[in-house]
Amino acid sequence: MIKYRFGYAKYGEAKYVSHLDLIRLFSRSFKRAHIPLTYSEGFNPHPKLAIGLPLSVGVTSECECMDVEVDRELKKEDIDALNRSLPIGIHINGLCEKIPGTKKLSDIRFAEYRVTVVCDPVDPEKFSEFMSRPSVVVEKKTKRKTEECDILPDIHALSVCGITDDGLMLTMTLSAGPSANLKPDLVLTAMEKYIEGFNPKDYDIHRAKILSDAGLPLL
Amino acid sequence: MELSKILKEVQKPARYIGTEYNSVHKDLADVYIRFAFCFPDVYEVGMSHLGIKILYHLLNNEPDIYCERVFAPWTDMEEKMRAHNIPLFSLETRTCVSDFDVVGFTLQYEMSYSNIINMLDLSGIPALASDRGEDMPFVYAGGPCAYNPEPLSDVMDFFMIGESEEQIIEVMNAYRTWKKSGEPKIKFLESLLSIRGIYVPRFYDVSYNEDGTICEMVPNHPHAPTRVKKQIIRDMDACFYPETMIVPYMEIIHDRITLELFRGCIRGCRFCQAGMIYRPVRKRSPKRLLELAEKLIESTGYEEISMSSLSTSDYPELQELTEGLLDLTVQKKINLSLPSLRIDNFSLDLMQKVQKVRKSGLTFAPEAGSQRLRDVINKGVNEDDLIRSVSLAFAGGYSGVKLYFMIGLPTETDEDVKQIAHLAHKVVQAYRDTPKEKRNKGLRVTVSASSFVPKPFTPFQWAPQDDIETLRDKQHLIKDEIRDKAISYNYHEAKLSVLEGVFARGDRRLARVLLRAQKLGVRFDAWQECFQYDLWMEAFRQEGIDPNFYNHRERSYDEILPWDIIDPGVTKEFLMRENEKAKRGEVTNNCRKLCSGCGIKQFEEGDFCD
Ligand code: SF4
Repeated sequence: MIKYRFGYAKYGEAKYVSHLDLIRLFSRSFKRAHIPLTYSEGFNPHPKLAIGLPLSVGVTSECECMDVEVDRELKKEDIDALNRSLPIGIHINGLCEKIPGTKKLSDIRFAEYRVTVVCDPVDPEKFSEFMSRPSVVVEKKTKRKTEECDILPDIHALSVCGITDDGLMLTMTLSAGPSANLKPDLVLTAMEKYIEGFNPKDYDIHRAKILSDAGLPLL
Repeated sequence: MELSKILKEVQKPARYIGTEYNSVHKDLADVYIRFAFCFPDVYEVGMSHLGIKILYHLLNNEPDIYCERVFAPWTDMEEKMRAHNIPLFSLETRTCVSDFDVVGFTLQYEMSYSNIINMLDLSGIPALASDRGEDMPFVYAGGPCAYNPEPLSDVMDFFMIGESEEQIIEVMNAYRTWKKSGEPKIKFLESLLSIRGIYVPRFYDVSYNEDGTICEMVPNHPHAPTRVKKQIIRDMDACFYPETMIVPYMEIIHDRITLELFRGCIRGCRFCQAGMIYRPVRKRSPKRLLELAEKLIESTGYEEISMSSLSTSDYPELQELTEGLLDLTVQKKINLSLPSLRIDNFSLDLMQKVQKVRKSGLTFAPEAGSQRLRDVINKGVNEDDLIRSVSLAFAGGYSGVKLYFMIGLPTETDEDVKQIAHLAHKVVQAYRDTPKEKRNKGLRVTVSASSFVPKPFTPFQWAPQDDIETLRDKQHLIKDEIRDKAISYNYHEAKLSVLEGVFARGDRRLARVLLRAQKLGVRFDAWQECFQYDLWMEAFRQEGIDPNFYNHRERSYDEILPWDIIDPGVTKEFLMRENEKAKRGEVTNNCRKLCSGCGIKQFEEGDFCD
């Protein structure tokens, strides 16, 4: 049994594939590529496959990662075979065998997103003002109730990185991982509330980086 | 942009993307015929259907044909599509359905008809064939419900009757020739008249008697056959079967590889339409099936494979086949999923080996509670068989049993209905009679009662269907008779069965009701949460059509039936004979024991019935 970390991208239509569906998709793709996954023991064996950070439905990414246990050593040809066995929109773009102890999936702390927003022009200054507010309170839905909470501590960086014909592009670094996880949608909702004249009509979210607590990429 | 925006807002957006593994993507520049295969239900239902898997790959094997899939958008998606003026589109290339050459619907159950009208509406295609101009695609339908095409005959340009693997290629050849000719659309329909199994409704005129029954149904075109002979596949091993299947992103109802063992059924249950229209029995060889299984496992990566047929226990080489499949699935580390089998030592042993079946659920379908009624419907099961089987199962460690019954069967009395509950009690008793050290804890007996719907081309095609009230009384009768906590009981919505009965034996005049009902807002009738009976009744009222005419009266043998236009091979004389035997409570042998002369041997030349 050897543990590998795979890096992959999810784009195009595949962005609508949910987290649970993705796990099934991978285990079938490995089968098609003749890569023998290690299965857990027990009544209902399942492949040992862990996805680093779930990606919301509708979000694209170039930096996803998962840890997979395999019964034999992998070669470059295996990755080619795997890529041929994946549907359009999911592509393996990295592989590493020796995973350093400081880069466990549980060490994930931050994620960087690029958000393309369709909206009327807004003064970029206003976004810096937004970041220097004392607090950013939004309604957050949990399983049982809706509660007010301050999301500002989980927004580590936010800036306008481009202007498009019909709106603008933002980058934001947000808390991510097992302890705190902030979704870009919620940041947009907050900005709509606090930034005057900012009214997103549509947006696309793309995850650009996943980082550990040391600020390092996972792959 | 519009579409990507609404996909973010709907439930299960994976229903609407067409890039699944093994989906086919072609360069449109190389394509001459664009074919939209439409399933009038939501993605996860449609994708579970075997026919679509076969025809999709069959058509796409032709280099100049591109077959794409279309499903009914769920209600949330439809709402958004209408609000944003997005027409119904194909999954693969997101092309509007009205831009296709041929639009084909598969008719698996009557309660999907309103979705067909709605899908045409969403596509901007006029629902009535007579309203579609030269710029519109041809719209046709096939599948089991097409054996009574009449309720949809004003909607469809043509129907394919029977098994379409070979026929559809002939139709495509005719289409290619016609398209090159540049002639008007009617010429293509005329050219179809020489292909077996094609019914073109506009080439027939129907007149009615004063009492509403059909007076005459006659061809108005010199080449239109007086009866349309169904098409069948003669050699199952030589017949196309896909070596690859689309692997959906989302979980679908039957999310696994399906192997089709055989068509037809030797049993001859008198309520069963499939058992009549798919005659004669034709099977694939174990060799061919194992070869297909291996290829399909390789190409899909699926973790499960299943066998499909009308009655798997009747497959002659079941032992050889399952042994082969077991070896294969162990070697490939996947599961073999077993269909419900007749319970005997062989099948119990097999289930033991497969293990996957949890020792909870086994299903049995006695269909009727009393022996008298089981003889009427020719269900060759007796009480001793059933009790022996469940006892065997209980001793083998199974503790859950599901029993399927029908209520509303011809000649049924209250006593027959009560017997359903009594039979369930006997099953409970069989459990208690099983030695404690052998049986497992937690007995659960589930009784499920559906309502009988008389279907065309069955011996009961002349029978009246019970009305809603009667069905409800019977449902409650069972409930009141059940006196054991180990038994749980469920039944189907009677209104739905009654409406199904109307369309199952309906005629041309019902198209108006369908169109009206769609305008009033009916959709997804097969889904309890969507079914709107009152709207349907309103549609009947507005069109001045009495639904009871179609299902609650007994038809006489000399009445002309709307589906008489179709020749399924089984003769009317045979069906009458069977119906008379039913009334006398006489059983008919299964085809392997003794041929009862259903007519299929005269219909199809060759040595079919073994
Ligand atoms: S011809 Fe005889 S054996 Fe063949 S299907 Fe009909 S009844 Fe059965």
